[in-house]
Amino acid sequence: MEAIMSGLFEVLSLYNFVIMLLSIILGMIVGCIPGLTVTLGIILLLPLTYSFSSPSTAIIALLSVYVGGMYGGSISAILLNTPGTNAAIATTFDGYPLAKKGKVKKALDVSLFASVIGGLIASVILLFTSGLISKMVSNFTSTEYFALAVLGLSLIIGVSGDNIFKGIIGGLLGLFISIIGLDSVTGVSRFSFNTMLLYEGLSIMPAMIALIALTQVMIKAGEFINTKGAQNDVSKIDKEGITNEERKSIIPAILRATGISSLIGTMPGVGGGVAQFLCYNEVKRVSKHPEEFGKGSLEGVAAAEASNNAIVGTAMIPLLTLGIPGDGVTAILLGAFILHGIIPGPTMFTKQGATAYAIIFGLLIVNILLYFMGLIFTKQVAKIVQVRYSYLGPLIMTFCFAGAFAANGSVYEVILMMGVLVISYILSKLDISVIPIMLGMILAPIMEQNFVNSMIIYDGDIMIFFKRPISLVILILTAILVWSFMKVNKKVAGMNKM
Amino acid sequence: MNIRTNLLSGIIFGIFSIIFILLVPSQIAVPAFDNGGPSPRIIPYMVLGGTLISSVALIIQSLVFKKERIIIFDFKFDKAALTILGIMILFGAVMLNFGFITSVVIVLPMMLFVLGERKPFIYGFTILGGIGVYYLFIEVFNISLPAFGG
Repeated sequence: MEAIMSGLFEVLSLYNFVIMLLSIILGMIVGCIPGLTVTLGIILLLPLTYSFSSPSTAIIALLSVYVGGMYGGSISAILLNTPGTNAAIATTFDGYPLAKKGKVKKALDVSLFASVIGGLIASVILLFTSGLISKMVSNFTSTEYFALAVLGLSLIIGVSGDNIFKGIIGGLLGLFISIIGLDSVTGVSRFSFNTMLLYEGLSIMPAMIALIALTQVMIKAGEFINTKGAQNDVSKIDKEGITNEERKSIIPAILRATGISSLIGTMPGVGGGVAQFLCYNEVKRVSKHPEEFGKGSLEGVAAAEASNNAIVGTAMIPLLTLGIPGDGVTAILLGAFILHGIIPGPTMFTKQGATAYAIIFGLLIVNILLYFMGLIFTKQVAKIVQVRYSYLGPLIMTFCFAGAFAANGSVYEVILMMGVLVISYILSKLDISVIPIMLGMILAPIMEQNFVNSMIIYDGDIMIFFKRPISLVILILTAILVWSFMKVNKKVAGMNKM
Repeated sequence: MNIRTNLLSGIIFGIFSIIFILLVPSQIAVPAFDNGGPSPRIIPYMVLGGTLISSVALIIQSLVFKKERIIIFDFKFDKAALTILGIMILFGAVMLNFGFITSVVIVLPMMLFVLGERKPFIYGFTILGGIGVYYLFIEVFNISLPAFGG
């Protein structure tokens, strides 16, 4: 209880509120501009969070970007028929038809209302379940931690699309990159080739910038040049918002989508990209007006938007309690936790309880603030939907280089980052996703440390991971998840072809 | 040029893993004192072994099961992204040798030119934006960056 109150008081400061408001706006902007993503927004903000007053403030700021970005993604989905984020694809199904009918404001209102309700409910679920789960897993030893890291790596299959081997190679490449440099256990240098450049290895921050942010800039700028900056027509925002009756009519759809998404969010690897389709289909199936879906159904917009914002809260459950990411964005957040000295997982609620609850309360408040920020700023943010990429690209690049250097002040890491950028381009041509690489890099130290500890404690008995019951259960769960991811991937590939 | 991504990935990462498996003995020394833990070579061997197995699986997928994902590499189209990649590397090189602001002043206009911008005020605005990023890190967030010297 003390930790809960400390967490609540920690988050209730004017400083935190200002940070949250600004971060939500940043999230809305990066979410709504096609070509910028929530992940990019988080990575751009991450170096700046080093100077924030506390680690919890830093994480709350990053979560604000995530929440704002999820809503922001719907703005361009409705106005341009171009989803600002992957999780807003289903929003285009009904959001854009509504815009074509001249009902832009109505669609945006539904999106905001559904996003806030979905996000709030998921945050409450997070608040009430995370403490309980962490108590259940508080006796975990290095063996179980290792099994958990393996479970986290199973997310790779979830983000691999239709070829798991490429995902596995990506994950192993991430593990390999993290091996380079000094081994933290034995102090032995690995693959440094006797050069200072490789002696310290590559840390997470510059790698994230190269693999995700700079690679996105490179690809989007390339597309901009090839298309000579052509842009879609944007719909104008009218004045007729959602009525109270309409608001009531979409509540069942919001609750249904939130329920499904909350469940999906707790499963590592599935994420908002998949949840939105499942929720959209389910809400359509039980709707009294399924014929309106795809032609401008308010329920359709509500289902998609409640779903992607609910995911934010419940994807934090496995991250905070087990230390394993729920989706691609929470994988980046896991990196941010580590950079800020927060160790998410079973011990977080006992050793850093106040920080854990501050983050949870922060997420709850961010979802409330999103409603007001959405009401005030949606119109302004919508105006920058069509900002030319030639204005944004160069500034994002400068931000990335500044952030990469600022991370450790190391010249070597900036040089390595440029090398990783070249590799990232080659990987894009080989159709290998960079998210598994990031996941491998982030989870590698946790995996290796706990593997080595287990080997020391149990005299090198590698079968110990199958002999200890909880570890065995986690590994069996991993196998089940991998199998189900493969099935879901096939289903999603089918849905995307539709 | 059509890139058979499964086959090519399999070949590239297969060769990569074999080379690095062979390099393990020379690149990872065994500690002089036994701390009771596993050898520092075990994880690299597991990682590289896994990479080799996955690479072989990709090659089999491509050649035996004819499952392939083709990506078209058209230099006419891809030269834009490659040019931006070159500009990014140049930005990093200039930043490390001559400082962040120098890099902003020299390289950002090049990037704008490649992106097709010709209006002078956009150039001025972007350079000011880049310098603004520098002062944001230095003054607001107290994070050091090289200004002019490397």
